[in-house]
Amino acid sequence: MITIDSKQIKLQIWDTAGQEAFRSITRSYYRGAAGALLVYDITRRETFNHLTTWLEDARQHSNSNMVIMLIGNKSDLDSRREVRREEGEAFAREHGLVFMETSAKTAANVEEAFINTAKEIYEKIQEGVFDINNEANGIKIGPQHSPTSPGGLAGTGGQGSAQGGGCC
Amino acid sequence: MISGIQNALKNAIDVIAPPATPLQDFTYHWKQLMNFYVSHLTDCKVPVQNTNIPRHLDVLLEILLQEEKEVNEPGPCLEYLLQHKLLDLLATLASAETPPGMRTVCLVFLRKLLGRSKYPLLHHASIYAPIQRLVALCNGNPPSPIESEEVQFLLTICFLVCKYPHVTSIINDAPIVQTTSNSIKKENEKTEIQKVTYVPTRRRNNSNPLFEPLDTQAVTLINPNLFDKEQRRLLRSNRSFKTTASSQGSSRRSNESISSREESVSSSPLAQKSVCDSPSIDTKSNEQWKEKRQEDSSGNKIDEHLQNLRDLRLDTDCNAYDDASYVAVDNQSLKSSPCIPEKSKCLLLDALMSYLNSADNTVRIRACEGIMVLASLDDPSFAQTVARSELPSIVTIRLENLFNAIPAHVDHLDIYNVDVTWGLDSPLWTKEKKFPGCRQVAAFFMWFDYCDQLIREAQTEFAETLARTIRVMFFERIVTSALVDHHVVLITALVTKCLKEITSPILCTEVSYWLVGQDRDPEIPNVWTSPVLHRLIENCFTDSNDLTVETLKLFEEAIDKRNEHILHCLILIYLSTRAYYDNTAADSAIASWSDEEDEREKEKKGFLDLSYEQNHSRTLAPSNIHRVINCFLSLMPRYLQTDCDVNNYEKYMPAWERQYSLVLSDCALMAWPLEAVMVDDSASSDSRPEADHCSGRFYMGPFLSMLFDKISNMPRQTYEVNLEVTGLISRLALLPHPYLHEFMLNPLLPLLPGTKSLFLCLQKVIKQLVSEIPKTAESKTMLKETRLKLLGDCSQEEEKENILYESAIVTEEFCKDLAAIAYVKYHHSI
Repeated sequence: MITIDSKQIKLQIWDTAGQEAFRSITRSYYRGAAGALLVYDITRRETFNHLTTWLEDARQHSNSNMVIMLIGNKSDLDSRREVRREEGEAFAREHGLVFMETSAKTAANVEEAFINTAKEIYEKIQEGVFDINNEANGIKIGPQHSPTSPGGLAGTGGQGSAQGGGCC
Repeated sequence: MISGIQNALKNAIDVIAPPATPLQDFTYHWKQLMNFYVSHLTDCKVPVQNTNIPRHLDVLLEILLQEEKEVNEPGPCLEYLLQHKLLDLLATLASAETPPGMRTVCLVFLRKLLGRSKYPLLHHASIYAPIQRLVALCNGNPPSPIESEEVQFLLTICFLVCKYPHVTSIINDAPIVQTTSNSIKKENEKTEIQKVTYVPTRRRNNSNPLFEPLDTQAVTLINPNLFDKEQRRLLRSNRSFKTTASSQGSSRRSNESISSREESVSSSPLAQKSVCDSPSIDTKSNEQWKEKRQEDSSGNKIDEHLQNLRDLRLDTDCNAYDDASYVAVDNQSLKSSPCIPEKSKCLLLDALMSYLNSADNTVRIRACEGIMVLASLDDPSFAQTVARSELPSIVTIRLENLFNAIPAHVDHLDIYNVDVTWGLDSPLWTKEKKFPGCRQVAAFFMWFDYCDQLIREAQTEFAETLARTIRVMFFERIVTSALVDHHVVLITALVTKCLKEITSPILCTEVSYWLVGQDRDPEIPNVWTSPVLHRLIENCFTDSNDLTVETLKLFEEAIDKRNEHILHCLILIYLSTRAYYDNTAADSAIASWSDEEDEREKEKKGFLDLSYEQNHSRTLAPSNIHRVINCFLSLMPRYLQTDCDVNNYEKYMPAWERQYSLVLSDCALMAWPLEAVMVDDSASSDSRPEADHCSGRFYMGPFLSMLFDKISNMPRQTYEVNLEVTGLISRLALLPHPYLHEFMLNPLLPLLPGTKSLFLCLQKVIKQLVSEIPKTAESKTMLKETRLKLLGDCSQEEEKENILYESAIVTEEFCKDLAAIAYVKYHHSI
């Protein structure tokens, strides 16, 4: 439950497994999600390299207006960094995502990541991009006319499920 | 820099006082854990949380994971764990629940160990055997208090199976009773061999058979001719391993023999041993099967080869290590063709299935996830196992139960708004009371969504089996009969919603079989071959306005699926011979109808320049399009028109434009013909059609007949029905099928005398309207008011019945709709 614009917004968040083999489930969950967090591990280059396929998958199986955040996780392990911050930013710019680096361990930016996602979704609702009367896009209006979004999808871009779970 | 100093410091300390090695730590904690049992031999009623067991297990886990991080190959602690069969013992303790709560603790420990370890540990006999026992322990039926932990554990195993697909074998469990004795013997052999040869050597590397793929098929395949081969196997075994006499003796008492094996590890908790040992027995028998099958399929020559290999293995044992998979991998090359297993059971799948009816939403969804993962596993033999399991019927029975649980009093109009997906929580529908019966309806559609998604994601064989099961057990057995009972309106609405929600082509195909039958031949007039279609069409002619509307909606949804089979059986098969077309008229009156036909004739003559502009259908884009449009627009006499601007049909075009692009892409793969031409073009056909066609043999099929009846009856029908009928016909007219197109949208087409067409029906309707609506200023105002009421936003209070006026408005707009569609299609085809 977070508050944006003095409106209560309830986020429903799913942590999907980042493993290739779980794609069937992830695909199933993309439907009806309003937002997704694509998480990679800044200390492992291969998780960054996998982003493209995850992004394609997300775009293909979801509402085209789905908000996608790009998250570089484990920012506390700067010494073992393999993916530079600029690379993440560039990738996000190229694909129209919002970028952040977080640390699930120190909780740095974790809440912000979710709040930013929610804000982004909220703005899209304000702009009328999401039709809140059509529930297929994963946004439901609560009893007091506060939009609730069940659509937080935490896709972990190739991260181990244990770490992925840590940030949610 | 700082870390460098820290390291140096640590090294210095280590030199002065070397810390206990991880292995020492590991064994210490293990022994401490075991001490509990030594000191509580008789009294094990202390809850596990009050003991030190969880803490010791945590430390053990930590040491193991730490070891993995530091060393690149399996370290001594892992070796110890494998060699001394610690997990076997834990599984025994878990199954015995000693002390109470031990099961949960063990499940957590194993889940974390397996989930986090970077090695595919599941191959190893001393890991998968206990895992299998634990999997067999997990059963959601009856619900267990720790089901959420159980299902998480199962999901972790699913995850491992996905990650290392070659381990599917170990989650398979061959249900063989006859081979128990043999397998036990084999097991004992193996145990013994391992005891002797298992060297915790540093020589492990990536090529270590422990971590090499175990061939799945080889392990899961089961020979149908069990007993016969069994004898041979026994004989051979006796030959190759001369020291098995004692183990054979013990094998007759299977449980005890396992106990004896475990006695080598520990002694105290064995009194608690339960029947849960059987899975481990079966694991071994899997191994057994593998080898046996290979012998069977490959014949004697390979038998000998295998024998050599086995001997060879004994030799290599002395040098290094032994593992069953080693043989499996080697033998893989010998295996020629995999045979099909008769019946195979998967423990993991069975366990997961038992949670499908769990009352706990989360538990059920986890089980659903696990099943979806297993069903989508790309392993042909395993896919077959899943397809032949009970899963399809369990899933379908749940669907049936949820369907039957929907209260009869649910308002059919509420159904359409329900929007749920299987995995995402939808508190709006499942918790709140949007309408009476909302929760049950939501539960049904959540499950239906799961079925649909499962079929979408699963391997083809299972997907097809499940879809077929749903058709036969749910649609044919339950829904068909419900289409006649009291709540038929609600049932029809539910079916429509189901159709709407289907996304998987395989399920769609099966449902289309249910709807229109599997037979693709045309029906003979008044002889019904498809009971469901028959029923639905009859339902359109009942007195109930609601039922008619709902059934038409169902048809609309069916058309919208753009399923080839549905379209074929409902409509296209009747039109594809072009039997409605009057050839004689075409010859004599060619000037009067269109120039498209002679254009086409010309093209036919110069058939060789086929490559030129073949993507554009001349049927859909007749050059006399303006005349076609005019026909529709001038149908309604001026004085009945309430819309002053005749060309107002253009306002409908953008919407149809959008729809048509979608329709085109959906229908692109249907292999529909490009042009409407006579099927038989030879000269003889020109002379014969009288015999064939003029006798009025053209039959447009039950569906189009029904629609045309409904159109003709427009002045007598309610606004809702008329809206549905016209909407449905517009959708049909939009389809890019040349015959359907010209039949619906070309009023200039010469038709056989007596053939009903959309245009003729409309002409009749308008004639009726003209004769019934008086030509007075008063009725003109009435019409305008009705128009405002229907098309405008203002919701005036309900006036008295004016079906006639409403029909006039609908007809007027419908004509514009048709004109718009004709133009949109023309525009796309030029």
